[in-house]
Amino acid sequence: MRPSQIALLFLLYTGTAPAETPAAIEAAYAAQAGTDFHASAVRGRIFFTARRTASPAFDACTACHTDSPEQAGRHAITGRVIAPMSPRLTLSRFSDQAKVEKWFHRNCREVVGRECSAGEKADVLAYLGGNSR
Amino acid sequence: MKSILPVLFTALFATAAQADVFPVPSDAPAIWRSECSSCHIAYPPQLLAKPAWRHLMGGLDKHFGDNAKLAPADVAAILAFLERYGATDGKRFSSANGRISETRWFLKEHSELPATAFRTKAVGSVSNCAACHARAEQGSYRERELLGPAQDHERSK
Repeated sequence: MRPSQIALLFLLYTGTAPAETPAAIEAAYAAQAGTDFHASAVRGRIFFTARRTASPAFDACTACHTDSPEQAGRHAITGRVIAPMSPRLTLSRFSDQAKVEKWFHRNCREVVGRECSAGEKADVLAYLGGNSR
Repeated sequence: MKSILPVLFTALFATAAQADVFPVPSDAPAIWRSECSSCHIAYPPQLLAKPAWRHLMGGLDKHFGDNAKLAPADVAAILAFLERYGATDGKRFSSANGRISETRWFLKEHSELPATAFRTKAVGSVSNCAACHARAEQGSYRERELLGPAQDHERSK
């Protein structure tokens, strides 16, 4: 049985959200993306660093978050410091499913110009969280 | 006149001392703090006039180049708070484009600084209060709390 299937079964079994850890949130997105889906940190990095045209101020995820999950970023318009995306350095990172979903919703529309797919979200979490290959 | 002088003096002094501190009201809703400090510090409600806050909260989908749209219930809760504590002096605390940084009050407070001061790498943007005001997040903008280049500027006067 694949990890994504296990996660899905776990979700079905408990009927509630799993423990909100980076790995569990990534697994839930992966399960949502389909039974054959495997999150990929490599794909996640390509997605995260891709140059985009939907918003001039935010031409990539890296415009605010830098191209290293270990580095603190800055909001491209306001200059506000953003703690590193890596949950190893920012312990509260990806520990609240609703918050993760809120920011994907907001930033995907702004930067990518559309909602991100569950698979893309799983990939990005795999890259930033360092949980998957 | 004799009896009123101390009162006047106290009132004047209190106003002067308060001018650079905007304490976060104790009934500030959590949603105000979490949402309004996502991309910048949660600016004190006292820094913008009530009608200006209403206008701003009515156009969050086009929020100074960003889409900051919120659920209607959250907008209502935040706006109620901003209207409780928003400035009443519309002359000093509003601007044509709705920015705090272009109100008369803000411009006067920062009039000694060259425009380039806000575009340095360390500051990045005029929205970034905390770059110079160490306790901006607590609503405190005292001169003695200034950081880095702003502090040097203050000392050189």
